[in-house]
Amino acid sequence: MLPGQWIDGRPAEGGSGHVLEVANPADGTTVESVTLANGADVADAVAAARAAFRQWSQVPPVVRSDALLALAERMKDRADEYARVETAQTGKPIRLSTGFDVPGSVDNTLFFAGAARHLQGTAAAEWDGDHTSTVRREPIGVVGSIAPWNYPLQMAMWKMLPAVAAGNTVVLKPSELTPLTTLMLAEDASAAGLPDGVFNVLTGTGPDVGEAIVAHPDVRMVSFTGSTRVGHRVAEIAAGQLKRAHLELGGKAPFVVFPDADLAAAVQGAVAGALINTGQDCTAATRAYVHHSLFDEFVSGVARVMDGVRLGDPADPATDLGPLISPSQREKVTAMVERAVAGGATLACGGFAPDLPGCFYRPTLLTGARQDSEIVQEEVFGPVLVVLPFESDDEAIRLANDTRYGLAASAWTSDVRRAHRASREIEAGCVWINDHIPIVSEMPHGGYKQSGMGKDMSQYSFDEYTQVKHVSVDITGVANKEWHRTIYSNPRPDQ
Amino acid sequence: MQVNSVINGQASPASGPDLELIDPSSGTVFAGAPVATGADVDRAVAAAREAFGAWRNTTPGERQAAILKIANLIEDNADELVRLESQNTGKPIPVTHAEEIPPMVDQVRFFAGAARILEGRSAGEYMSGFTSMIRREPVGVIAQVTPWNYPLMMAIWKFIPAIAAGNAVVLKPSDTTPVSTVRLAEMISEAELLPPGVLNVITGDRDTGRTLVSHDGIDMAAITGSVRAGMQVAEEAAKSVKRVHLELGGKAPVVVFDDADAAKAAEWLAVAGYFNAGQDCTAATRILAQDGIHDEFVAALAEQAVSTKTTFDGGAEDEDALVPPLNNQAQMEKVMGFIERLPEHATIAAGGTRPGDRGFYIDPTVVVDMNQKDEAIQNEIFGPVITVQRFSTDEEAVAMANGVMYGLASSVWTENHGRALRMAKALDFGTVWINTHIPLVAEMPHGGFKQSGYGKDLSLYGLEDYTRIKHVMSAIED
Repeated sequence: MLPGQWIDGRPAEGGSGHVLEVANPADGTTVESVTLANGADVADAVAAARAAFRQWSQVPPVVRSDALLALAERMKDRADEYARVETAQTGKPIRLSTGFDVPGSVDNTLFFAGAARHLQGTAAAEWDGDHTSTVRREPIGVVGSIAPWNYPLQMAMWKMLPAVAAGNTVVLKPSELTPLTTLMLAEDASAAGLPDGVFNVLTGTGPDVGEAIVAHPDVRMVSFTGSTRVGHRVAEIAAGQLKRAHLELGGKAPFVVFPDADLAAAVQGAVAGALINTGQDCTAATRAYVHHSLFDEFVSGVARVMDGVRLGDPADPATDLGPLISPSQREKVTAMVERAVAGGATLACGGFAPDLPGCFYRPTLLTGARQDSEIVQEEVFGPVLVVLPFESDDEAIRLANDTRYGLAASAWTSDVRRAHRASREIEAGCVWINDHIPIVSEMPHGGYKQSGMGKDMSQYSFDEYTQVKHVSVDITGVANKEWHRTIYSNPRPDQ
Repeated sequence: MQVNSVINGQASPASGPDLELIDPSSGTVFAGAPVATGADVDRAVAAAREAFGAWRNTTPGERQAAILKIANLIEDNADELVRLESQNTGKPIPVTHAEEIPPMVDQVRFFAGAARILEGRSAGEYMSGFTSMIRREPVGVIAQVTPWNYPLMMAIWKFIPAIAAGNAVVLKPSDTTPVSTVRLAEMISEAELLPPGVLNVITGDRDTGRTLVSHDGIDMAAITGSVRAGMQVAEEAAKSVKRVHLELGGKAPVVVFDDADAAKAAEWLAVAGYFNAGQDCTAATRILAQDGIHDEFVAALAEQAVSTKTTFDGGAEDEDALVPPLNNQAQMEKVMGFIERLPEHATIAAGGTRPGDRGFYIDPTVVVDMNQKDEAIQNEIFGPVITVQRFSTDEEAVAMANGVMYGLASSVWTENHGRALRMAKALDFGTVWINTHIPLVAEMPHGGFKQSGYGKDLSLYGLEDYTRIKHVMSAIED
C-alpha cells in the first residue's frame, strides 16, 4: 500500500481510514491502494504550505528556477516509470504517455524553470514628477489546486509549475481515480530541492478533500481543472471567500473544414483530434463542421480511418486507443450515443463497446444530428465525433460559436482570408489552422466563455499566480506637498 | 603550447604567425596563439553563415536544452578552465573559482531559459481590414570581440545570448588572453553540444578584429573593449550600416554622503576598486566624498588599500590574495603613467608603487585631493587606483559624477532613502548601486550611456539586442 499523501516534504498515510483501490481501466485490476486524506490532513497540508510560503516567496527567483531544473532532470531519469504508471492508472496507450504526457511534462518544467526568472513589470519612472513608482510582482500565498484524471501528471504540473515558480506554495488534490504519478512527482520535487511544504499532495474525493481545500481560509487562491459542473461549485466557494479562482473547464471544440481544405489532412486531423486519449481531452475535436461539397468524402474517409484504429492493452505499444477511464464514464458515453441515434442521428462507424475486458468503446462517428441536440452541445469526453454540414462561411463560424464552451477550435483551409477570419471570429482560447491538438509550453491554454477563466502554461499563467504591487516613493522631500492643497489650505511656511 | 582556433567544429591553429602569450605574474611566455589571416576569417564567417541556416530554425526549447548542457559543461570543467584563465591573466585561483565560475554558470542557465521568452505585442487589427503581428527573429551572423579583463566571462556574455536568440557567432578573444575561450569552444565541439559552425572562435590581434568586423558576411558586430576600439568598430560597421553593440569603458563615480558608514563603505569599496586589479569597467574607481565624511573615509580607505593583498608573494594559489597583476606590460605601463603624471595638488594616500619587477604588479593605490579636470579623473585608468575628490552639496555631487564622458556604472552611499532615489534618477549611468557596488544578477541589464557604449549585456534586454523585430500585416478583407 502506498502512502497516499505528501505533506511537508514527507509521505504520509491518509487519516480517514478509507482505502482507495486505484484501478487499471484496461482490465479492472488494482494498480495500487492508498488511504485517503481526512480533514486533519487538509489542515496539516495547508499549514505546511503556509509555513513554507514565508521563505519560498522571498528567495531569489534563481533558487526556484534551479529547483525546477533539477526536477526536470529527475523526471527525465524516471521517464519510463512515469509513463508506465500513467498508462496503468488511466488506461492511456503507452505510446501516448511515452510520447506526449511525460515529455510534455518535462518540457513544461524546463520552460517554467526559465520563465521563473522573467517576471514582467512596467519600468520604474516618475509618472507624476514627484514620486518614483516601481512595480513589484509578488506571489499570492497558498494555492489550493485540484487536477483531473485525464492527464494526471501533466495537469498536476500545469497546476504546480507556475504557482511554485512564482513563489507560491501548493496543496494539490489529484483525481481519486489517478493519484499515483502525482505522488511520484511530489517525491521528485522534494528530492530536487523544493523545500518541505512547498508542494503538498492529498488524495481524496472532490466533495470531501477537494471542497475542504478550496474552502480553507488559509488557501488564498484556488485552481481547478475539471468539469464545468464542478467548476461552478469551486467558483461558488471561492467567490464566497473572495478568493481568486483559476478554472480550466470543459470544451466542445469545433473542427471546421472549409471547401478549399486539404481533405486528406482534415480527415487525418479529425481522427487524431477526436481520438487522442480516447477523446478524454478538453480540446478534443468533437464537432466537425464540413462544407457540403466535402461532406460525404470526409465522413467516409474518417469512418474508414477510425475503423482501422486498434484497441487493446494500453501497455502494448501496438495499441492505438485505450479504454475510457471508468465503467461509469463508458456508461455515460454509451447513453449519449444511444440518445443521439434515438434522436435521429446516424452511426457512420463505431457506436458500441467491443468485446474486451476493460472500459473500451469503439471510435464513433455520427451524422444527422441537429445543432441544438445533446450530442452536439454537451461534452461527451469519449471517442465520439459528430459531423454537420454547412453552406456558407458565415454559417460555419456561427455554428462553431454556437456553444457555451470556448476552449479550442480548428479551421481547415488554405485561403489566407478564411484563415484570418476563423482565427479572429472563433470564440476560443486556442484556434488552430490546419491542425488540431498540438500545444507548446510557451503558449497560453485556457478558455473563453464557460470553458473557464485564466491561462495554463506560458508567461500568462503568471498573471494568475501573482499579484502586482505599486510602490510609490516621494522624491520631493517636501512637507507641504502641492497636492495637499486640494484637501486643506494651511498657509505654507514660505508664504 | 599552441592555441587553436575553432572553426566549423574543428580545432586547429590559425594560419598566421604566432603571438606570444605571457603569464603576467612572471612576465614569461607560456604559449603562442597564431594570428588568423583573412582566409581564416573568411572560413569562420562562412561556417557561421552555413550553420545559421539550420540554427535559426531550431525551436527555442531546443536551444534551451543545448545551452543548459553548456552550463553543465562549464561547471564540470571549472578546475581546468580556471587554471587556464589564471595562467593567462594572473587571476588568483581561489577567488576566480568562487567569484567568477558560479555567476558564469548561472548566466548561461539564465539565457537558456530566456531563449524561450520572446517579448512581443498582441496580434490584432490596428487598422480596420488588416491583421498585424510581431515576429522576433535572430539577426544572423554576429562578429564578437572580447577583452582581456574577464576573458571567459566576457565571451559568455557575448556568445550565449547571441546563440540563445538563434544567431551564429564568430568570436575573437583579446590577443593576450585567448586560451580559456578557445578551450571552452573546443570542449563544446568535442561534446557536440552545438552544431558545427554555430560558435566559431578565432585567435588574433586588432587587425584580425578589424577584418572580422568589416567582413561582408556578418550582420552585426559586438565588442566589449576600450572606447577607442568601440569607435573603430562603429566606424567600420557604419560603412555597411551594420548593427553594433558596444560595451566600452567606465569611470564609475562613487558618491559617499556624510550619513554613510565610512568604515563599512571603505571596506566594500576597496574590494570593488581593487578586484581584478581594478581592470573592470564597473570598478569603484572615482570616489566623491562629502565634506563631513571625507577625512574619515580617506583614512579608512587607505588602511584597506594597504591591507589588500596582491598575488605577488603567494602566487595565484594564495587563498588570501585578492589582486592579480595587471594583464599585460602595456597596461601596467599605462597605469604607472597615470601615477607618474599626477598633478602637484594630488596626494598619494596609499600605494603608488610596484611590489617588484617580476610580472606586471602595481600595489593598491589611493590618490586624494584630485580635481574634476585632472587627467586621472577624466580618463579610465583600468588599474588598482582609486581617486578621491571632495564635494559639498547634492547638486555638486551630481555634476561631478556626471562630468565625464563615460556612463556605465555608479554608486551612492547614504542612509537617506529619498536622496538615494533622487540620485538614482539624476545619475547618467546604466547601473546605479545604492549602498553597494559591483554585484550583478543575470536578470538585470548591464550597459552604459554616453561613450560607454550602447546595448545591454545580461538580462532579457541583452537577448533582445540580438534579435530583430518584423511586422507582418495581412489584408483580411476582400
